[in-house]
Amino acid sequence: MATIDDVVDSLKGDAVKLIKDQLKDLLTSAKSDADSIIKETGQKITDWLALRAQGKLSDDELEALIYSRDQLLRQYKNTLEIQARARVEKIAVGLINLVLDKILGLPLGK
Amino acid sequence: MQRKDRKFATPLAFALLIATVALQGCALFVSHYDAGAYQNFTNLKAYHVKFLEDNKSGEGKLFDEAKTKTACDTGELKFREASEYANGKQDTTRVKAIDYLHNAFNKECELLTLKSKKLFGSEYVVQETEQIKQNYDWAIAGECARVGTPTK
Repeated sequence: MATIDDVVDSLKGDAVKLIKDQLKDLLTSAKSDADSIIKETGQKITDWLALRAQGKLSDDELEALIYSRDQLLRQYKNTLEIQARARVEKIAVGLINLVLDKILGLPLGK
Repeated sequence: MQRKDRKFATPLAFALLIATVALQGCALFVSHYDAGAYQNFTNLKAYHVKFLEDNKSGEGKLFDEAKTKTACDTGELKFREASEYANGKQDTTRVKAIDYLHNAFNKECELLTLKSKKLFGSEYVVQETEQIKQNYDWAIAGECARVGTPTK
């Protein structure tokens, strides 16, 4: 498992200090995030940059992996949306059925 | 008697309000579980993972452009069929779920047939396979979260 410092130090030549600082800040905040998928994304990108520095991944492969990660994160967000909306429907339909089938007709009052 | 009628109207009005929202097909809700969509996700997952394995570099393996192109075309057809099926269900969340998998597949084909014109590196395949499986697992989890999912 690569460290952020190793990865940032592996950037040579035309990688200016500002880019290195931004990368370090973003990777550090991602890896310390409470959300496991963000934390995992930070670790994955750190590892891929280290693999690229070691020559085990080409630039094109790195780009494809990052694109695939982007699609995975969009999928995650879409699934959360489905889960939230399905939950609302299950509660609303449950309430409707309860009121219509069991509660209507019962005497109400103190 | 009048007092009882007034109290009875409160839950009825509440129930009708919820029923109205539900029956209007409000975007608040998603379409129900669909066995065909579930089947499409699992079939595509198997094809996609095998596609990555088949195109992984290794001893004695050579890049065959025609064979790779055929595998990409076959995958493209499978994704288009799944996409058309999802479109027919008229729920954008299901269409998007297919798109996010299809886009990743297209990027892999682009890398193989247009950019590198050689087999995937073994480290790339290890990393990408893990991501792709996770992507499909999220899509399947989304389908299984819908109302009406059969209980095991």
